[in-house]
Amino acid sequence: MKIGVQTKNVIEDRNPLEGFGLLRQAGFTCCDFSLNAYLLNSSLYRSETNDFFDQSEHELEAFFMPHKDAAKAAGIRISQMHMPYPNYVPNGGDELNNYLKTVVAPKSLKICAFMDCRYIVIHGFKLAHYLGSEEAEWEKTLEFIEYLAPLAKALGITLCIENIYTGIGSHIVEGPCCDARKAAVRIDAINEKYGAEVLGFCFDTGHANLVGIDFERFITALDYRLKVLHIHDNDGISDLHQIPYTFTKTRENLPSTDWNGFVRGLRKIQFDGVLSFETAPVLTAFPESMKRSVLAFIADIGRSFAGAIES
Amino acid sequence: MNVSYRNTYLIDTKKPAGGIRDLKNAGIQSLMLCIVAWLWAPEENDDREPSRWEEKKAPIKREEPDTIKERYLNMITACRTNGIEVPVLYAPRFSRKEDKPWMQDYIMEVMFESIAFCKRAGCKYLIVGMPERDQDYTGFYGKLSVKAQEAGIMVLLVNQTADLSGHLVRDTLCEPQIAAELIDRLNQRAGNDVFGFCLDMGVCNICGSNTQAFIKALGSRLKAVILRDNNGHSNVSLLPFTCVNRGGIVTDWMGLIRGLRDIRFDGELIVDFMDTLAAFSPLIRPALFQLAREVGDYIQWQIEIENNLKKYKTFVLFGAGNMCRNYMKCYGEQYPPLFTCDNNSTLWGTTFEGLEVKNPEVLKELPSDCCVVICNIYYREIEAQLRAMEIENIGYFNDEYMPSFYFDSLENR
Repeated sequence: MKIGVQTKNVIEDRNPLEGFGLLRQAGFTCCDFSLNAYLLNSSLYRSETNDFFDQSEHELEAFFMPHKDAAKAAGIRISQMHMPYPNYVPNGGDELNNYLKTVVAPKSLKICAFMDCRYIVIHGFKLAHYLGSEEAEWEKTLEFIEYLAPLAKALGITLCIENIYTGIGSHIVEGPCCDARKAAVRIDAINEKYGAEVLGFCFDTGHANLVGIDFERFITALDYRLKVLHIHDNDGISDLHQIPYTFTKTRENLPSTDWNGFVRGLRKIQFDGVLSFETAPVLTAFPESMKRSVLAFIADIGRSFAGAIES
Repeated sequence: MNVSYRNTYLIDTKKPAGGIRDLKNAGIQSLMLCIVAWLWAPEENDDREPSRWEEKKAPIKREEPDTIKERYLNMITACRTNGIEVPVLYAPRFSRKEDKPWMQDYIMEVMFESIAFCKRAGCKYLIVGMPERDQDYTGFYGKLSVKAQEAGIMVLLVNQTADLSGHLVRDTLCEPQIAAELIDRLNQRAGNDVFGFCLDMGVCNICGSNTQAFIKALGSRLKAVILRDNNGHSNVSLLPFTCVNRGGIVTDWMGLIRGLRDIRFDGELIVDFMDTLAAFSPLIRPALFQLAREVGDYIQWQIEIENNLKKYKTFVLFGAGNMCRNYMKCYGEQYPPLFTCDNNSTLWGTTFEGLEVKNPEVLKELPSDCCVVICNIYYREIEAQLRAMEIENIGYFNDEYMPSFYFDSLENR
């Protein structure tokens, strides 16, 4: 199995070869390209945007050409990327939301194809509060997916919905796509409609841990629809994106995240995708001088997972 | 719909008279009795006890099943005599961190005794949680089927947390589709509706469940709901609406109320606030009883908000702001008011959300069977204004838990 990690906090636009080289030296052969770093969620929630995606397709390709070349030169495959999110801002108004749908999303897909990347992760819309139900919320996400589906099919890209959370006060609770059975039915229906694998799933271990989801059951219910992973750990309270096996809660010091269930689930469905870590915050927590060691440690954990899954 | 309250700290099982008096003073007329079997330690056999027992290496205390009920008969009799109903029992839940060969048989014996006691106490429902670590749900509940049918009671399965090295996570019955399928399978085997579901809101909160979706998936299988609050991480039972962070609630009461409306829930609401009670001195606990009763009534009122609208033959609204706008969005078409009124004179004669806005003075001319529904957060001020106008037919609307919301409010337009 291949091991990957987020490019955020590793790859810099001014010298992408240095970052990709570092990933390769650390033991990765794949990466999750952080396209969302070019239009931040924190800005979007303030209804602020920038002009990055105003660039023409040609200009965007020119911008990312050094990244593509550097990845290739370093022997790193861009195996997945993250579309900027949210894809819909409830109080953002029509102008912003149309921009996200008709400009940012299609251009993200084209960048994805340009980078020879097969999977792009999207977030479902968080609208249940306003619309009154998860079903009504999904209908809006579905409109977005269906808008992109023909382009995704033409480009050979699979959009991947991800289990995400929402908040009630400071308490993190289940958000869109946290019901694996429902997700499976919905993915199958869309793919059948378009006659192509335009929709898949991204299982985020950290988000699942925050709402106490049974990893094995969730992964098993998704089965072949599971295309990509966001592997990271937390304390079950906050979305910390830390290294797996970091958190314990008892004096026995056993992990309080269900990593055994994670391995069993992936083994059961014979997952053959990339074990991709979404652990960019770890790199800002450790001293800069330890970046290489930290990345190597993360890659080591990936190899440990791979060994256990393949055993 | 009936609102009950968990008995723990509300009423002393040995000396129930004082508690019953306080309950009646607070207007509480219904209880859920939580049966405790002393297996681990001489306290509640909740999740905290095994670790305490393990630390002390104390011998296992084991109460004989047929003696358990003796501790509760006095209380049940006193409740009945004083007109307090006990429609629901919660069977002892066992932690099995240390598995002993005799435990499985012992647990089944206690469950059978609980069923027998449930019948004797005249209860309708017995909530039975799965013993920890036991994964044979069909086998465990299936064994209760015959006894429950003979006793004429319904066994309610319940969502619980599982302990993953100190992290409370979802057990199997936290998956609504799995719970629904299991109940259907058990009932099919029993040839009767012997099994239903009790939703524990405290567990939903810890697991961050989508409560509305959970309830919708259960549908008519849902017979009881335990209303308790917590911080989303600790398995405690606090009074609903008391767990907050920076002034905001952290519990999905919106999802609960929407879900129960969706399925037209008509079962048991059970308020469990035993940890809030435990924190208060017995000297001031009776004041909490009153608050808890009002909280229970309020949640019931919110769930039944549409039924309240149906009761009005004709009605007008008082208020031409956001709440009126929300009313018209969600209920205006099905339950149209004659008009609305507002104290803001600049609005008189205008139209708001399709309603004519009038001077409140015109309310004096309404026939007595036309209700004035206050649709504004200044409930008490407006009620006083209406009473001063000698208007007695007053109703209330509230838009905290609407079926849907606008993306904006009037102020932000």
